[in-house]
Amino acid sequence: MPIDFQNIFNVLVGEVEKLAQDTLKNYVNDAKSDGVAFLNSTKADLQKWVNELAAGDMTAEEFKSLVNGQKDLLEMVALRKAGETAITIDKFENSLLNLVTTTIFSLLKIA
Amino acid sequence: MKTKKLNYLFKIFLFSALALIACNTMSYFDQYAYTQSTSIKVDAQNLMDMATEDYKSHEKEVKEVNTKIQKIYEYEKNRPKNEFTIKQWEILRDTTKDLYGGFIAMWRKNGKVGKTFIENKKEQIGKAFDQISQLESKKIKQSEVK
Repeated sequence: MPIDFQNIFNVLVGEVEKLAQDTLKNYVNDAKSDGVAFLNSTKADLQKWVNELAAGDMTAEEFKSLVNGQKDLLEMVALRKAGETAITIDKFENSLLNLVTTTIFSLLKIA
Repeated sequence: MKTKKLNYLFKIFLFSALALIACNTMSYFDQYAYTQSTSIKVDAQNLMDMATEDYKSHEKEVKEVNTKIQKIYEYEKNRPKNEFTIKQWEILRDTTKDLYGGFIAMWRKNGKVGKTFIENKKEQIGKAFDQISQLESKKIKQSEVK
């Protein structure tokens, strides 16, 4: 049986494009909503802390610790996002691996 | 016969090529690491509730939680491809920063801290622990890799 490499390649390109689009679309949407949620929550926290400082419920040192802690928290959020990006790439590669093997074997009719 | 041989060689070539791109960049999901991160979060927050009282009277409890954090940090350090999680634990426990490590350092320095501050800090540190457990939960399970 002659192997039609051009046909295999064309089918794979189409499938890979679809897979990449789906993966990236989901990732971008998640990253965007995550970022907005963190900013909104930080804004609300800052307002609350300023009010509590003004009311004398907290010392200046405690207030400063909370503001600096938010910066540290942001760093941890960024690390989570960076890690999730790496995981998304790993998942994409694993899906690509499955896609290539199943597509080729199906086109070549070999098990 | 020739075609069969060609198919066989093609299969070998294909598996070899794909195996090269199939190396993950991140560690796999680890149930122990996930359980520890969520469990220590609760321990740390319970400890923080004690910070309205004198630090010296709670040194034993502080040491217990610190030891748990030290143990999971050492565990995480020895997992391959785990840089993001290791860095997260480093920030959380760093006494010069303002999360768990910084809170304990402040409590030790001042003797006690205010209740309003504790409530706010518990929430902030809780979110920091969540970053670790959320990242762990997103990691690929070894059983998912075909």
